[in-house]
Amino acid sequence: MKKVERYKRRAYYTTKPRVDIFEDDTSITILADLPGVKTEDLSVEVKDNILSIDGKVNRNDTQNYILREIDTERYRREFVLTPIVDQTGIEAELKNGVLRITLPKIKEATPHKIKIEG
Amino acid sequence: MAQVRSELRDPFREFEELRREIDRLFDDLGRSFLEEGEVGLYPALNITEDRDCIYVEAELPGVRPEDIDLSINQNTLIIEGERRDGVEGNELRFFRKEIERGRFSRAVSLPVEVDPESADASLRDGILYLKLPKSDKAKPKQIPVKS
Repeated sequence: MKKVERYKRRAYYTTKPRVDIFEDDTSITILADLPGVKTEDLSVEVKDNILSIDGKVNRNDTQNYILREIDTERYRREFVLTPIVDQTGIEAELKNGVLRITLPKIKEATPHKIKIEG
Repeated sequence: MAQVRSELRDPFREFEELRREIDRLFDDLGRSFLEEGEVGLYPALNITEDRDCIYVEAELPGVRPEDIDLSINQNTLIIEGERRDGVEGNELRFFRKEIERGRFSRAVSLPVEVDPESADASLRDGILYLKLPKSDKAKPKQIPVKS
């Protein structure tokens, strides 16, 4: 009995979500798979140049399992931001279990043509 | 003092922590193998049951409902579909590409026969939830005891 209680109180089973990270000329995008996470249980924050994703999955664990391959209770991952990201313009959207974070680049980092006079 | 000693000598706690460490190590190893191009079974499933139904959960982040095909043949459930979300647009340069897209198909045997006509499926937060009522002959029967 004591053992069961301890098991319940254990730390969340945490997984690193899979991500795609890509850029175009004006922004960097992070896509992260967070199946089972609801918007109210997700936090995305920037602190000291580190962007962190932290999402909880509410799982009802009193069931009779026949097969159990999914046991993530929490998704966590951190990224160091490059100086070219405009940290005031970061946007995040969670849809169908996929988090999309758009990190706009500062103006100085977006390519622009230099006119050659002659 | 006595409190501290009992904490130190608690075997379950130590084993639990050790087990987590080992799990984590293997998780990291597993992931690095996956990145070599080997693919595990997809989608990952949880299957539970109660007296009347079998419940299936499948992790399908980024998959649209219209791109999922479900079929039940006797007691085999087949989940097929295609993931095609996300990375439209040209001139994208990738730093990381861990998410797999494209077609998937998985068959799984259910422990009892279910009634496909009254099955119920919904997709929420990237998880497909299936409720499959057991067929009448697979349900446990109450046998009245006569006095």
